Amino acid sequence: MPPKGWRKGQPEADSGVTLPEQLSFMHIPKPFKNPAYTKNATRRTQTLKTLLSREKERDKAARAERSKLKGGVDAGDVKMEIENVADNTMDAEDRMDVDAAGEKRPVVLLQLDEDELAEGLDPDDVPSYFSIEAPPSFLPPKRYCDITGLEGPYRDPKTGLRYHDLGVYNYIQNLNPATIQAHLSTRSSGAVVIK
Amino acid sequence: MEPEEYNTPESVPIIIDNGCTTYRFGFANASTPFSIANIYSRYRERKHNLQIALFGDNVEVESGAKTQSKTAWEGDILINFDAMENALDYAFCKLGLDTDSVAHPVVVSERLCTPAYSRSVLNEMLFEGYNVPKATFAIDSLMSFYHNTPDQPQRDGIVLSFNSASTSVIPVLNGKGVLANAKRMPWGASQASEYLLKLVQMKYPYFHTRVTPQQSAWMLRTFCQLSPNYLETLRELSTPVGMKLHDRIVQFPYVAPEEKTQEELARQMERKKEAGRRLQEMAIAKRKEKMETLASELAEALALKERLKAGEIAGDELDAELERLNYDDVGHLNNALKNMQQAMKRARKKEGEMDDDDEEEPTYPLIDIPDDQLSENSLREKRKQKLMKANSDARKIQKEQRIEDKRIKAEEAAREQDERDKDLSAWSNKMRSQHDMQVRKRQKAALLDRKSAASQSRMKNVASLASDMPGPRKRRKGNEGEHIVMRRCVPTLKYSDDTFGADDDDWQIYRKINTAAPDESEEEDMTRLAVIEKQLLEYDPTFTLEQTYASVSSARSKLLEAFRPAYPEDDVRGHARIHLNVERWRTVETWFSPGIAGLDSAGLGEIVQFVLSRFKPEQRLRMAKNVFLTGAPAQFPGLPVRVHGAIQEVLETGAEIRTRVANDATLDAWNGMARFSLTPEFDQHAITRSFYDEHGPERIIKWWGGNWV
Repeated sequence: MPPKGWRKGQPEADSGVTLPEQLSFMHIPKPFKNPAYTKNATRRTQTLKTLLSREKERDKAARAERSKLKGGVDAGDVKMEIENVADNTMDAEDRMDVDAAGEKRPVVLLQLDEDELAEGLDPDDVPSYFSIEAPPSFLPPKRYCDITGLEGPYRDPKTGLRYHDLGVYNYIQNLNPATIQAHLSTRSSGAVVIK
Repeated sequence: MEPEEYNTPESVPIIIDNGCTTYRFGFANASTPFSIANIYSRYRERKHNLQIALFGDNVEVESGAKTQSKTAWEGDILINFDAMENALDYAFCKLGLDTDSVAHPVVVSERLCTPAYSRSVLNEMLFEGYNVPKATFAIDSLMSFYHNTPDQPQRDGIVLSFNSASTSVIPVLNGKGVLANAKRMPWGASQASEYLLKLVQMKYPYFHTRVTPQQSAWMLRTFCQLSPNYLETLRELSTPVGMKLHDRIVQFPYVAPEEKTQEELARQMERKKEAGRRLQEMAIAKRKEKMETLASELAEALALKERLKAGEIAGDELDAELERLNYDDVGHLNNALKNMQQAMKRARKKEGEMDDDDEEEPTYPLIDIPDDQLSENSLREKRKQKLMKANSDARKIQKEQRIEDKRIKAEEAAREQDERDKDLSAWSNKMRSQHDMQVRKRQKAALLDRKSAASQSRMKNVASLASDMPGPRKRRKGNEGEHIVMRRCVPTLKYSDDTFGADDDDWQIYRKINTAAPDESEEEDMTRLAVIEKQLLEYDPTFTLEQTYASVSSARSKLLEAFRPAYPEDDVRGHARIHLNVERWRTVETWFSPGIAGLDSAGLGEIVQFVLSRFKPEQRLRMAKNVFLTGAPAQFPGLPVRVHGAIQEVLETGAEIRTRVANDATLDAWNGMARFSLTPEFDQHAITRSFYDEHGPERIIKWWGGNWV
């Protein structure tokens, strides 16, 4: 569907055409677009926060479902049953209304082929956006000078800044609170209160 | 924008590598894709009142467009589908499609474990908005890996994918990505660039221009690197020489002040001198004029006085004459006469017409006459004369004292001079040792820490003062009940009868508490130091200004000077410079220890080790032989070596580790997708229209190069 007003956008031959007009792709016909396709505005506009929280819910539900299915039934049956559940929920999905279908999610059926099973991979371990997040570091944090970035074995008790040597210490003593705050905030996410 | 000629058969897939910074698209049989920044802007242009849509770097041509620009990605997640639609529009327009629908199969890259929402909307858009016949989603880094190992279908390895907003580690076994064991850290080139920008801004808080994110991204790409051993590199940098050795200067544009030629400078000087001389002349003329009027007035007044004395004038005539000369009466005339004479004297003195010593000694005729021989008037006069005499005597004594002082000083200087003349080095040594002693004394004073006896006693003082004080003031303001209770508890309320301050010695307590205030001995020390330094500076050619206590104590350390060289006030060029030294390593080190940038996540080395640890030892060995780095930031110098080191830590010694970067770290994902799309395998894994209609936009087919769900 050509966007509204693209006809108006045809540059006139006689008048001077500006550079943005030359570079614009607004006026180029787009016959390949389906004119019947309307974008569902509510579906289109999601904030990052809602997107992530929905994804989390979905992930949790799928995991719960999988562990429920796993209990008691032998492998062949599980497969069939999962297939069934998946098909049932797919009907809802076909309506393409993700928001309404939020209650019942399709259970993700993870089929590992022989190769993967031979490598000893766990078929229950389904990756999701959250499960692949890196763990926090287990190494003791190294200490670096907040001003120069060199090794910082000392810490100024007044400001909390780490420093490399006496020269840097003297420099720190003349900093104003805003600068100290800025230095501290680069290595810690939250705001820091200077004592 | 001019679309390309469209003559590609419909069976050739369109490949889109939808990166969050760079957008690459093209037909699978093209040798290189179109590569453009993934940013778009739509706005109304004022001149012809047209809607304009710009994509990629074109956004930069118009400032209005830049402020309106949008990108499909928010960090690591595809979320803005209006922008995505425009990106697809742009790609299909550019490729010149003029058919009713996009009749080519489409391969689009997606992020590792992308949220279902992102995929489903994109999927829906492709099938319903553009009517594509077939589509496949591929993980970009796995496709890059595939492209770089074409002849090993059963390839094993570890893929390190460096993206703009994240970095992932994906283990690969038998050619398939084992996504369940993959890990992603939320740190990428954009975060690193932001971090560098912050560092630069803190290093140069008063920089003359705003450093843009683009500039910091450029600095990151151009100057930053990894060292195999970060601590060692830091130690190398921790000397001024080492710091300077690794320094890189980024010169920003600046406007040079106009250089004045010698001639111009000379002319300017001449003009200044001329103006000065004119002013001087004017002042002289004015003074002369003033003196002339004064002289004439004085002459007239004197003449009148003479006539008055001689009795030549009296009565109305006198009055008229007084009025003519602006005097009230004879007394006024006398006073004015005196004043004028004095003023005349002063003026003459100023002009150097009269000598200092010319001042005649006033006489005190009445002083020696006994009181009883004097009339009342004369007595008053005598008292006056006595006072004047005392004053002048005091002045005389002072003068003598001054002369005496001068003489002593001259003698002392002569003695010093004598000493210097005899043996300069001995004198210099003596002075220097005195100087050093004083400096050390001051430094010692500065070093007094809180454990010292003086500080301890100070703390005791403060504590006792605090305990002496009655309850805190706010308690008194509290409710009535509390007030009464307090009174009972502290029977002697000291507020009313506090006599602190009545005795001047009370104030000494503040001197004891506030040691920061300079006390007299310190002041004395400082003056003594100043005298020594002045003499040393004057006579000892080896003693320079840098050695004085003031400059020693306030000097920036050499290391800091190397870290951020200071330029003189008027050096415009120097002030438009950014020196990068430690930052060159510090910025990229964040991938391996994100903690230094405030991110609570394991570093890349730890993650690789973590991922490997979830496999059996023989699997680990297989994977270690093929460690593959891809994505634009993978091009940092030193990165493969560093990753190599991290992997070595978890493998037994002697294990074979091979690390390599993609041939083209930025384009190989696209190349891999293009190569894959031309194999028969593509048809097996692609989602067809009928599959889409049956299963909806969330369902995809699991295959080795795509996400699992």
